[in-house]
Amino acid sequence: MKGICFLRSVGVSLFLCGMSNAVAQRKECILSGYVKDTQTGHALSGVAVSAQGRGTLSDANGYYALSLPSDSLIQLAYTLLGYRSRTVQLRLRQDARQEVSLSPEDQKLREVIVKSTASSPDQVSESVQMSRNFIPIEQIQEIPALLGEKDVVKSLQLMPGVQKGSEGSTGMYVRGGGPDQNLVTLDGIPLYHTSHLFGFFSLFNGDAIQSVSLIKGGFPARYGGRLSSVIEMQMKEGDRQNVHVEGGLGLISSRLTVHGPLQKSKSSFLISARRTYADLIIGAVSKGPVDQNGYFYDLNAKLSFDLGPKDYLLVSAYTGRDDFIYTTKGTITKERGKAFWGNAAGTISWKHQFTNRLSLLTSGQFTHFSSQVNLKREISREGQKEKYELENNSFIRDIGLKSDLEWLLGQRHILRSGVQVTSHLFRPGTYADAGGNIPSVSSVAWNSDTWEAAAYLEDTYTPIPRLKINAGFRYSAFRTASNKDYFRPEPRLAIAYTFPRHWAVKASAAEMNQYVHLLQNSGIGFPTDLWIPATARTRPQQSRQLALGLAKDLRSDVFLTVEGFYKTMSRMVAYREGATSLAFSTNGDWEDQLTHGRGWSYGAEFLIQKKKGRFTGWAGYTLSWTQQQFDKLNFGRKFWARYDRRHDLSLVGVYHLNSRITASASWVYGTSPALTLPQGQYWITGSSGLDLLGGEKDYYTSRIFEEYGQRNGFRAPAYQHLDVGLQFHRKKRGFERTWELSIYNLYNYKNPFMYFLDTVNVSGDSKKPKYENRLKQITLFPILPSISYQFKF
Amino acid sequence: MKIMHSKIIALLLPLGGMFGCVQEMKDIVIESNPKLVVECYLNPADEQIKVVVNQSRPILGEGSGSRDSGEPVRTAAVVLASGSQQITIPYHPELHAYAIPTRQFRLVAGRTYTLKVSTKGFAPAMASCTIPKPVSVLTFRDGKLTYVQEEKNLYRVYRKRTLSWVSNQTNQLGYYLVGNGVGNSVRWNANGKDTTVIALNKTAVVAFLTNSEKTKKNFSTPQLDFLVGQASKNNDPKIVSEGPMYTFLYHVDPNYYQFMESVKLQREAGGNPFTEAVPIYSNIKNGLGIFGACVVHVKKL
Repeated sequence: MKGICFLRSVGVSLFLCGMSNAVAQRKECILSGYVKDTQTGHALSGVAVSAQGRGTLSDANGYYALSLPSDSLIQLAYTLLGYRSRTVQLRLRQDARQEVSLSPEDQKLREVIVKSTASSPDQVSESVQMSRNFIPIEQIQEIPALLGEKDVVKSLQLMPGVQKGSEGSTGMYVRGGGPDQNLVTLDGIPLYHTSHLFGFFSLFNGDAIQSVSLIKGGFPARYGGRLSSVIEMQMKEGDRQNVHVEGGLGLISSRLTVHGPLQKSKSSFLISARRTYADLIIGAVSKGPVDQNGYFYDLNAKLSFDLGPKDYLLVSAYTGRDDFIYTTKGTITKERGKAFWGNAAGTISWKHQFTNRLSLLTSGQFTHFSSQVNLKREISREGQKEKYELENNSFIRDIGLKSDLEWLLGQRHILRSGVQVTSHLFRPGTYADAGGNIPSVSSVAWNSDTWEAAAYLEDTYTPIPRLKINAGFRYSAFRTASNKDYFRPEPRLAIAYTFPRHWAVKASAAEMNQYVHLLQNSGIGFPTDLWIPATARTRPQQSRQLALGLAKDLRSDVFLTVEGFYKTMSRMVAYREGATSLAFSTNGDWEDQLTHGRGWSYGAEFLIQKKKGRFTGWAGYTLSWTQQQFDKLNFGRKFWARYDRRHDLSLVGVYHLNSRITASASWVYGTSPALTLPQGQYWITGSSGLDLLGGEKDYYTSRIFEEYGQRNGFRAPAYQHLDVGLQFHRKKRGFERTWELSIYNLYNYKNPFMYFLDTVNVSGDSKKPKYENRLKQITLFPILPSISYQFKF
Repeated sequence: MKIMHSKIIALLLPLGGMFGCVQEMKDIVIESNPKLVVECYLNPADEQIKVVVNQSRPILGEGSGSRDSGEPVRTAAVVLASGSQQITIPYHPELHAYAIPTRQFRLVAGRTYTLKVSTKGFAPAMASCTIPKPVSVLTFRDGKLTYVQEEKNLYRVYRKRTLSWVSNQTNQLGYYLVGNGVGNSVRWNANGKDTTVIALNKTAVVAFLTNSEKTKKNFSTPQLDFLVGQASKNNDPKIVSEGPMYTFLYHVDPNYYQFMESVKLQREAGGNPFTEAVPIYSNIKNGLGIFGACVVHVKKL
């Protein structure tokens, strides 16, 4: 990665150069203010504010600030998807404030084609940020979904560069990174386990989410702590004028959201809840104990306050829980399991505007995750009984404080700097054993008190109108439970040059560090996956990524991006082959069960997206390769990662037939995940060389072994499904309702969730059994129609 | 998404029961060419060089569910070579293996050997290994005895012992198996010289060890528990064993080590549904199995 070193020095030079130029800027004024929704009064984020070829986007609090030349007549444009654009004409003589309200538009009715003549900051060719995907929340609400459950994470999985773990799951693998390498934040709070129902639904209730964005590369210095992506979600704010109720009934769950003003025009509240009800139905109809049951719920709440013209306070909270039990009673195998896991998170953030040019956002954060899983299996065969048990607990508690300063320096610089410190408490514990005599998992759990801190400085510099540079430097640190300290510099650089006709060439380089690891058995986000912090022996993960891309705004509402990337990942952690448990109390021996490795990912991504108008949607294609190498996996040889997929294509379309009917469809087609399947089998005699195994030699040898070949060397047929949906809207006297009919996997393609070998007796003579192995496939989601109902008043 | 992880299946039962289906995949072909399965372990102290040759079979299709050993390959050409020396090893039906007395083909520590096995219908299999050099200055430091109750009036007695030695290999990682067994003195003619060796039986590996640095010459084990016998009472000094008990140090080549480790791991993990699957190591080119080497050292317990 000599390129990284080179870019590091170039970045620093440009940054210093920019600083000196900034001092020379003259006759500039700052125009700032908040953009709000006319009807509800809540802040609007992502509003493009532009004038005279300059522009910015409003932040999560609706605040914007733009440097403009003084003493000239300026025509300011405010645009946001789903709202009527607004223009304001003014002449600036000094720094000024301009508060703006935008009215929602009924975009279902009109196809608006605007030939773009002016630049706008929400155009991809105008932004220095590359590798960023944004899906309007309105579009997410219209895309057909599994069992009608709208899911922001699954919508992101349809973007290029993002792979899902297995069918239906919310696991995300971004540019070859694991699911632990995504920084998922809700109102800025980092969350660890982000799925319900064994990974099939994400934590995020679509009714409570206002916006979602994904960054896969070219990370600005303000982001850190994970290697592969940043997924930022903002919860909605309550209406500041009137109380509203929204809800929905689906096959799996129901949702209810209430929001309104606390003090009219000044503060608001929002409470949103979701719960599944299969357990309530089963409980009502069943007279005795049930074999399989479970539920999940989540609850979001948000308060927002205008404390004054320069102060803004937000309080957000989330809690949710999953609880499942099952029992099976086969003739040979009996199983019993129970699992529950839950998250709780909260933040208080305060934004203070010192001047029009300088603002500070300070927040305190709390995150808690805990899970308990207990699985027991008893196998009775030919008079012999074998018992196996897995006990798995995980507990994480984070308390953090962060502060971010934003400073508009002259007309060419936007400086950002910040610090953050987090206290982590990890308490992982797991034990798997035969014989049914495993110790209490609390006795093998491990308390790990660790600290993480970071500081950054970042400059978005526009030396000439066509050239934008984001150069930054982040310095992160971590103290392990045994007081081992890690210090890691993380240089970042992104450059964009805009050509005439809305073309832009972009390049970026980023180095990231991650101080937590996820140990996975399943790869699809089960609660048995275990988060552990870096230790003196298990060092922090690190990635380096280079990306190069083209961006083209075809019209004001359609853009095309083409990007190539190369990423290396090091010091990743996995269970080694044969790992049975992590008994943390045994003097650190648990780390013997782990193996450390590296990863490489490279590829190209193509995206054409239309966000506005009667027809919206996108087409995304990814061509990529992902390999890994671990000391104790595959005998130390390189292998294809489980989620390596050569081709991945997504087509998504939403069409508003008229004001009452919306039709939508999505089709995905891609290479299936890489699997490890036995290719053959062979007998090991265990001749004299294995005599060392002693009296137990026959136990270890003189039996059939399976020949696996290369790890993950098997590919199933391509993965694909077509989903369609129809929404019927009606609005009457302030009451809106939507019926939705959708079909998941319309042509009933049997995508594999898993393969297994089943041995069956093929002999017709019961006295002479003859056994054969058969390859069988589990398909979780065949064609699945669903119906749901949503209302709002 | 590897093959049938029971943990996953178990957890998915509630959901799978609602919508899922299981179907046999007849149209998926798992390509599997039959391969020669070779087992041979070179030890200069063994009386015999023995090569077992079997064949692999497909994972699907006729006979794939059988758990028996299958028929050995009797018609292979098995050639052992080192430098300019080479010998063809004949098949012995009574052993179900190809074998020659060690005196017919000298095994020397530090020397590299190549084994070639070929027969009609299979790709020729080939492997090589180097017999490790014996360690020197093997010493031990003993700790106390520990008694572990097995049944009523039956205790297993272990001695805590630390073994230390000096490696004679330069710039190579050392691979070692340490364990205990019952030893008997046997007079034997090795390479034309009469000598006495300790023949071990009822052996058990206590630890798989490897030094972390190629340049490190001195090696010490952690304090390990070695079985010395049985007693009827806790702390009873009267310890009964089937014969003189020894600790052994097998200095093995990396192939032998990785193969043994993976065989043991897979067996121990194989029955447990909550563990990671373990592939079996092989150094046989175009085939499966193991061609490994070792030298043995013993110390009385």
